[in-house]
Amino acid sequence: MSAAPATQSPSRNGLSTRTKVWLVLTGVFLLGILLFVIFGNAGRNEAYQPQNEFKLDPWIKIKVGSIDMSINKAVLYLALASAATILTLNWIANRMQSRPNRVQTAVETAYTFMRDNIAGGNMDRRTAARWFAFVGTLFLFIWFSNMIGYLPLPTNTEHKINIFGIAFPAFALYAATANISVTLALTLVVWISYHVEGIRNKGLIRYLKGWVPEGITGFTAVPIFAIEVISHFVRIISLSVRLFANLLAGHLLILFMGGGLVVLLGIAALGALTIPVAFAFFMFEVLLIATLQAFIFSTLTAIYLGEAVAEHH
Amino acid sequence: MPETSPTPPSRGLAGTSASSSPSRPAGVPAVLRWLDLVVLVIALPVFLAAGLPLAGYLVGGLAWLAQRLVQLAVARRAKAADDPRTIVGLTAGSMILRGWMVALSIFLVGLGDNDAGLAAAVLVISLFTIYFAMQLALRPIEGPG
Repeated sequence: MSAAPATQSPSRNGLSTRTKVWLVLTGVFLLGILLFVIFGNAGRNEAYQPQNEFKLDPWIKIKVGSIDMSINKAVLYLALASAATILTLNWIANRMQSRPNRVQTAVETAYTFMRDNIAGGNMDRRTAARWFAFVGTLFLFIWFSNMIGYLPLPTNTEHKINIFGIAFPAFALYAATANISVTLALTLVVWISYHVEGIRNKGLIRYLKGWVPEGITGFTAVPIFAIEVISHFVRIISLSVRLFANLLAGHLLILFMGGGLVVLLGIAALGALTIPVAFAFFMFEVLLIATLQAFIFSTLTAIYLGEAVAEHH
Repeated sequence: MPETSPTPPSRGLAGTSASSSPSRPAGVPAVLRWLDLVVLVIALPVFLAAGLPLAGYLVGGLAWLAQRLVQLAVARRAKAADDPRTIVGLTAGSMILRGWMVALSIFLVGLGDNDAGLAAAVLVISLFTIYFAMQLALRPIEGPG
């Protein structure tokens, strides 16, 4: 194997990295078996419903006609993400110095990245200047929302913790972006915005004509146009579901590996094996997925906007 | 609308930051860096006054302290290491190991007394929330390591 010299070289105590990894894995596995022998199987837990972790109980009921506008967990997470975005950026903007400190350097790097890579790299200069604030805000809002989603917060109103006789909500992991309504609302804003920008830029007829690639005329243009119409509607699904599904899947993996599977199956020993996996998933989600998904959503927004005003398809 | 690329806010100096080195990090009050431990201390009278299982506090608190010590020791070793693979391996390995260590402690105390296990879990999760939130907020100020 090509990686052999690096991974198999013996360390100071004589064991190679590979041997150490195998020893740790074997130890964890044996511990799991030992715990299973000692504590056995308590049987399947029928009372535990993992899907309820994502259920939105109304905290303050508000109903306008047939529309349910109740305040629930998702609203709290949205408010937290909005507050974090607004307060952090205002705080930093008010403390800008000619000789930047680390915070300012980090923020300026993020700013340059959003301006040059996300907005500037996918739109012409004029469109980028007009839409940079929107695309940048989207990126930061989704990023804050994703990151807050990995903080265990006392928002599980289904299960309570009794302290001083007061029933406090239990801790839960939840993200506003793990809710399809939130990502769909963001997507609809993007979808409407880029069509409006395209129509404003070219006029309705020229904008629609732009959906057919140059050089295609006559009857051939009809199916191409129809496919393009479908693709624009599919964007609503792809953009919203991508963010929602990634966040939901990440939270589900952490939930199940972090204890959900143990409770559900009633096999306590399983925890010895799944907890390290839960932490690995947690790190993967926090370090990669949270930022990557915010980047993908905002980059696609910039691409759609850029495409809408581009002269040729 | 001017036909220029978006410019940084008037007070911001994004254009100059690349050439100028960062100044010393703004002072972070030690209480923020160690806020989880402050909360751990504050939690003791709460446990006593509320009649919550002390075994839960002791196990949860000790497990948390132990993993913090491991974290400091590993961070020091990672900082001294030159090989990026060693640094990543140490950091990732320590994170998984520390989580496992704490979870196992909660599990074991919970087997003896269910309420104590729950109290330990709630304490540790509260401390983790505070620790993780502080990490997110202070990371850009203090820098990695």
